[in-house]
Amino acid sequence: MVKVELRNVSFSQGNVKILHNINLTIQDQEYITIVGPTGAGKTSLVGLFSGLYRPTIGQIFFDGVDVTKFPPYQRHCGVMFESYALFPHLRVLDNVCYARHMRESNQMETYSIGEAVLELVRLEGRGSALPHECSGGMQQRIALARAIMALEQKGLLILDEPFKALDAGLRMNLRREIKKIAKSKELQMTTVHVTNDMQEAMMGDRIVVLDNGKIRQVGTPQEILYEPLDLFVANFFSTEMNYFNGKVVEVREVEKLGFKQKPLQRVVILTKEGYFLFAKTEKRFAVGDKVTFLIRSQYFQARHKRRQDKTNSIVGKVNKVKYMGAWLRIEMLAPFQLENLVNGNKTHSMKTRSEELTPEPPKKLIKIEIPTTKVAVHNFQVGETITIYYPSQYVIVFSHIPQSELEAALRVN
Amino acid sequence: MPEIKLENVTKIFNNGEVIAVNNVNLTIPDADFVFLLGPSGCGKTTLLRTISGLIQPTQGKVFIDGIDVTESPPQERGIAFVFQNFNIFPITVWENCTYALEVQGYGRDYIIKQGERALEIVGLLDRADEYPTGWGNGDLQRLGIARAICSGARILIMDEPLGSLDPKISAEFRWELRNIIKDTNLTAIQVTHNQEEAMAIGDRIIIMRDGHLLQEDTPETLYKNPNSLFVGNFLGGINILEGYIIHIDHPNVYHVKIRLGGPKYTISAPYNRFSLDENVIITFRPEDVYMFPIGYDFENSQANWEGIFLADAKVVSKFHTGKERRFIIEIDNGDEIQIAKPETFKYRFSVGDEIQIGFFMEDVRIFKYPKNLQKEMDLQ
Repeated sequence: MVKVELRNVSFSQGNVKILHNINLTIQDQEYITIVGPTGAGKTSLVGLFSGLYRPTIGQIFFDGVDVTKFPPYQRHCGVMFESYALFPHLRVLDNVCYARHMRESNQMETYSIGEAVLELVRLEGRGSALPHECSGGMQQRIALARAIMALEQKGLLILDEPFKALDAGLRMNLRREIKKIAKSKELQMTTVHVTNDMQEAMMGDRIVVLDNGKIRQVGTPQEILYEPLDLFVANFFSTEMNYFNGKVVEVREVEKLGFKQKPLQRVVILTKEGYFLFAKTEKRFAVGDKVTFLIRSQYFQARHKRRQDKTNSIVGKVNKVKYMGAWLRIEMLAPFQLENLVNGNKTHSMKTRSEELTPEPPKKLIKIEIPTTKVAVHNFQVGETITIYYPSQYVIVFSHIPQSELEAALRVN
Repeated sequence: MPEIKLENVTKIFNNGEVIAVNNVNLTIPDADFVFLLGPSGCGKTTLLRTISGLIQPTQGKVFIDGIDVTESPPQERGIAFVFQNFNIFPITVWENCTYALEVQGYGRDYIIKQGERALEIVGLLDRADEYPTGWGNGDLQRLGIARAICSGARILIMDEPLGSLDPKISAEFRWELRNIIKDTNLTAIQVTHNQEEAMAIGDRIIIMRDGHLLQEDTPETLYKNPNSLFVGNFLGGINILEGYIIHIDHPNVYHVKIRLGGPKYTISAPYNRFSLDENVIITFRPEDVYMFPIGYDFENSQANWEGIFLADAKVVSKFHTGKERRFIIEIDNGDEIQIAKPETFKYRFSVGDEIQIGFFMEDVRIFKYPKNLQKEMDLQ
């Protein structure tokens, strides 16, 4: 239960600048995730909260009190580490009560609080076990209980990559559980949760996207997903992204739509491949603007038949198909619609069909993912011609990003 | 290329104290990309070492292309390794790649041919003269794979090759890895603790637990028809409800009615392994549950909802996973069900909304009630 504020915080180690001018307010009882790739500065940022590091410039406030120069033990931060760091020779209850035993003299009272905290993390009755007798999931809850206990119900709970060592399958359930505990009536924690996994970041009330020592964006999961501020954020929060560069050929204002808060503009874009694609966006563009257009692979739908309405869809051939469980991944090769490119400025009637084009137009590789549920169409075979389309409010439009910059952002190195 | 066959392979450590691999029979088809999965300590690493020849089985035989290689060392099995921590030498890319062939004294022409091919496949040919010092993890692993391909091996053994990459990077790199493996036509075996990765890029998956091989099949069969509650749960979240058998039709097709919680939910499914009053576990995947607003017009829908089983429910919570939207709903008897929908799902239900949920019998799996449910669900 604390409000935390970072004001103009920069942090260097030697000559290396690690964090640049961070401004961030974490509200009381908020659950914040901090996410970014390795080397983004996540652990340093957390070290500034807990007092392990001191900022080179700037101030840190806990509930309005300037704690910049406070040592760790005066800050009320409970930290749970990636490796749990449990004491192997101490019983579960003694692990949990360790920090408070160091401070308080009344052992019996501390033990009874410790037992209450163990109950919160659903480990009631396990206090006398040794850590190695507990499963991985239980060890994690012990580490969580210890961090909570160290806080004395006030202060900041810091979870530093708490699930990194766990199997993917286990993480999903534990995520829900850990947040439930932190937000429970008894605790009402303010929590900072550090991760390098975008799926895990989504559990935050708000997400702080950190890259190269700078905050790229702070927002709710919905804002980060649907209105990313830049290419980095858009790409980081996608399994696979499709990119199109093109030019706006038509704009129209529309009413606000469903989950989007602001009035939308409907934009028709002629891509450099010759596709006419639609987007509904909160941003504003004018005819002739050069734009970059992004669609996540799982936002597409696919049909065997051509749609009568040929707008807003792309026809191509299935190149690869792979079953992945809940999703089917398809790589589709779509021929460039060269005729559209020639006539595109005058009219964009959708008469062109791929067969009527030059014999071998260049092709665009498009990656899509389709649900494998019973009611979804998903029996696609290699070599088949399919039509793909997408709901136009789910695309992301940026001002033009040069091809070279796109490729650099996409290359895995 | 080669087919690998294990016959009654058992490996016992510490004078019989630990049975790491317990009587495994297995055939890995030629040119398949196979994943070994299981909780830590399940025996997958031991099995991998037995296949590669780093250790000998206590009992049983290993065949590669029909030839008994049980006693042969790794270098005689045509096997190359790709490691999680790359094990790249501080010499040039080209020297790293061709090192094994140089040491073994192959001819100049052969080495150049192999080296160029391998670096071409992973897209590093134009960087052959560079030193890999300071390279990103993705490029280091490209080089690790090139080195394995260059050696002329027919079988690739990979121990968490994407394990040291950031989740985002590994999720992209996995497709590149699959393309490389499929293009080279190698038989590849990979150990991972990432089920999602195995499901995504594996041709087949072997699931082990406590030294036993539980199930071995394509991702599709494993996902849709797991032979145990453990396998079903291990390969991605699953909804679990407790129920019991209240009615069995016979003679030919046994139609079982299962009661979920209170008397309200009775579902029917053709199963014949159960007896009356038996306690069972009913499972279905989060994406196989459908959500409708109250009063949804099923008849005039584009999809075919015939045969759907419906129940009233209330939305308890919802969240994004980045890939999909998830809802937790509660049915009348207090059971919670998790539902996964694509981000593009047209209804945006709020917490507290009264809705209808539905599922199809063919998506429901019924298992015997395990002796220890918690242990069966523990993925560690």
